Amino acid sequence: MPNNLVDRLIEQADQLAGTWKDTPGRPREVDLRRAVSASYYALFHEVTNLLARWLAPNLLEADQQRLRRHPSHGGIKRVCGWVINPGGAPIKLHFARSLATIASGHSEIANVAQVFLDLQQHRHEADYDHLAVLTKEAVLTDIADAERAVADLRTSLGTREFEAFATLLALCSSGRGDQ
Amino acid sequence: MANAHVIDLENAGRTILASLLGRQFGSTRVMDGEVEVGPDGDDQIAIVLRLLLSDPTGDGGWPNDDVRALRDAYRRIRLEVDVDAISYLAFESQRDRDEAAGDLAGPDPAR
Repeated sequence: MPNNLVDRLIEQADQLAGTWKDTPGRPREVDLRRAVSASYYALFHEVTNLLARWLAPNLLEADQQRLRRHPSHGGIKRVCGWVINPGGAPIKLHFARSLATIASGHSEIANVAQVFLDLQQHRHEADYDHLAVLTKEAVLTDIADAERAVADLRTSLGTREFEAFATLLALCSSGRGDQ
Repeated sequence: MANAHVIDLENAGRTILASLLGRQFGSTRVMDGEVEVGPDGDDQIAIVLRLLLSDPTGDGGWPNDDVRALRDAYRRIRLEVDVDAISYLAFESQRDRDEAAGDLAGPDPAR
């Protein structure tokens, strides 16, 4: 289901890209950094949006919005890390490894997980590392990655692999990602 | 002195990189790469694979299907190597690297 905020963030990243896509040489550094950030947030918001709708489809929109605040950036990162490497899920969470293994079997969800990790790290560099050198082609790829990952996530709705991914997010994505 | 965990991660990263070097994904080739091990944005020790890819055709980034196939291959290799850390992929092209180097060098003083 389309999400206005998500689609607008992708649109914003595209517009930033559009100002220098056809311009030779390097674009303005600030535009590159904002485009990376918008790309990451588009995917972040789509993850929380689909999770809330899957968990509580009959809640009012306002209640779903509150539910969307449950997953943290670090928490989603942690779950995505498990999808990429199910063996890394803690043994004490007996369900986590099996759910991560199921989710990782869906190539689109596995792609979403890796793109989420990559974009989050790129966004940290773009927003906080003033020495980071951002390149035009890499940023254009980040935007395309985010757009594709949002589409992948939407098409995976209704599959058992999405249910496994969403269950992990619902149970394990609050708090920091370093536990 | 680097601790044993960091050395293990560097070795794992180099193994993954070696498996990707020279491979072709659609029109995109992995030309070279670097492995970095250090704190990520959350101060967790992580592996960053910075891959130098062949220049994309046109002014855009690399084709989405190529990048996706590369990530699929990377994930499979990662599982075989059994890496006990989070890891990230970052891409650059020779063209982009040259332009960035030109920016860092600053304007030509002769002008």
